[in-house]
Amino acid sequence: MKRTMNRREMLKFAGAVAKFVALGAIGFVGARKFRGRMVWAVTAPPAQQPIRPPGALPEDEFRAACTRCFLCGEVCPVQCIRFPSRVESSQTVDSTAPAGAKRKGRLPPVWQGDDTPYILPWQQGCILCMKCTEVCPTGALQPLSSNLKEAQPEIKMGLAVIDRKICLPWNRRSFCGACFTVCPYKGSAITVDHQNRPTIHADHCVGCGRCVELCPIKYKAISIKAPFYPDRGEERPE
Amino acid sequence: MSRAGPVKRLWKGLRRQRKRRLPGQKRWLQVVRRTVQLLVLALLVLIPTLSLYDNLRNQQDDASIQQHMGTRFVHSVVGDMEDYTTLTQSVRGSVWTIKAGDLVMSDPLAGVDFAAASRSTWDPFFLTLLIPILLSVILGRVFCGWICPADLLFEVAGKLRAVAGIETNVEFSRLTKYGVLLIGTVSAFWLGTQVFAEIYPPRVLSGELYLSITFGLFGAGTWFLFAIILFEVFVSERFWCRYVCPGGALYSLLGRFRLVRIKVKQSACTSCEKCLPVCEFGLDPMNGDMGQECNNCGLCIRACAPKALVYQIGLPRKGPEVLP
Repeated sequence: MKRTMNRREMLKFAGAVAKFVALGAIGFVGARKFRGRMVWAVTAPPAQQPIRPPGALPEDEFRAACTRCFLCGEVCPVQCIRFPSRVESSQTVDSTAPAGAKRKGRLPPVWQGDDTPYILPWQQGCILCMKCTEVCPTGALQPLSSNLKEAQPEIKMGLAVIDRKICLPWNRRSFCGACFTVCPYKGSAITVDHQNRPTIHADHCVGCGRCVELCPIKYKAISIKAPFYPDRGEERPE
Repeated sequence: MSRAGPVKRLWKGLRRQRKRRLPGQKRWLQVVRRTVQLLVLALLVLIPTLSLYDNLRNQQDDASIQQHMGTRFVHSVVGDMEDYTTLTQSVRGSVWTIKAGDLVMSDPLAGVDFAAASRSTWDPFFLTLLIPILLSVILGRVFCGWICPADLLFEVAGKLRAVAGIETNVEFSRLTKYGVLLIGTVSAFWLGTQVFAEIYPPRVLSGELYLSITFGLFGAGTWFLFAIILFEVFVSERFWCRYVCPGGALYSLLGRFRLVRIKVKQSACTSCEKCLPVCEFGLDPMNGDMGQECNNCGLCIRACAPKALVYQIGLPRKGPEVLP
């Protein structure tokens, strides 16, 4: 016959439950304090989407598929693939930060604490070698051909946008043309007129960021905006 | 009489450790186990160094190669070779996912994380889990005791605790880690992003080593591991592995019906209880209470003077793991 607990056993049980609850509370508070950015980042829609390596799935699918194994970063020959870390994200970004970044130099909050790969085009643009897409074990980065022409319609890293108030040729200041020179799809993604003033063509630009890397202006006249997917009903972000 | 000062206590603790030569058998097994653990740690340092060297060499950045200690060493070994990329590109990744040539192996917890977050029932990624799952089903929770770099870290922290003579030990239920596994899986499914990858110490440690070697940075993960170590030294012995690790929970479930187990020979056992304090996971070898959480590390065999604890290969049976 099952007997009920006596007082001693009841106290022991209460103690065990209390310890369990306390542990849970500490874990919860600790997670909010120290990994609070992760909780914020995963529960809230991103304010500004990071630039992912080429072949990346759409952002929500990417965050589900990426297993944070760092293999893509290891194989990248120019080391453009980075992973957020608390120290990096609170360091002052160097002077080649684009005009859009806050002057104090903090990275946008969604890039902090997630351990997923992203690219900072103003530090190092992607050379579209596609080694990262070959090595990704989960398919978060879909394999793409390393033939630039073949792969062009599949690459959706983002879209380059020129700030004509800052760009030198648009300001009648010089004959710069650096972004045009370095673009892997020059002539289709970016064209220049007789005064070397560049224009981006959205249907061909893949968002690799080499133009941003090479722009000689300190706060960059060109930047990469997040990609959007018209077939999912998304509209171009501002 | 008042207690001795901290320095004297530490010194006494060190001397106690030195005299603590365990009386049991199979000392060579512990040598093998430590070697494997140290080799894994060395690999976790070597792989990012090799890829860093590869990238710097690709950019012909000889100055940076000479500046960085690790790449300087790699250069001294492979620098003159024509075909150095076969060596430097031979292996990539970490204990979370490793790629050697065409062979890719992943931690089963990564598979759970991926399946829950992307809500998929099949993906080619699951093929990479086969070998680790098979090894766990046959040998038990051996990843924890033989390969996990964080386990090595926490065992060292445990030795620190013993040397310092700290006796405070808050215990929790071993079932908590299964709760963590369940809640984490549900969270990954609900939030649509991977959660175990953020808190699993082997992946965090691999990631921190990669970040520090490649970018010279430390991330939040270093503080996280440091906090666990402090907690384990001062508050709760082997806290993470015993009570919290979702990976440990998964490996325990996989290894429940393992073929290689440790059993106690009742006729030889003298109930001296020397096996109880050495078990890293707080199990009870004397009464055959190994259960699914035993990682076959063999420390209890090392401690057993009458040689009552033995490895047995065979199908599992009901009840405690005792032999007549």
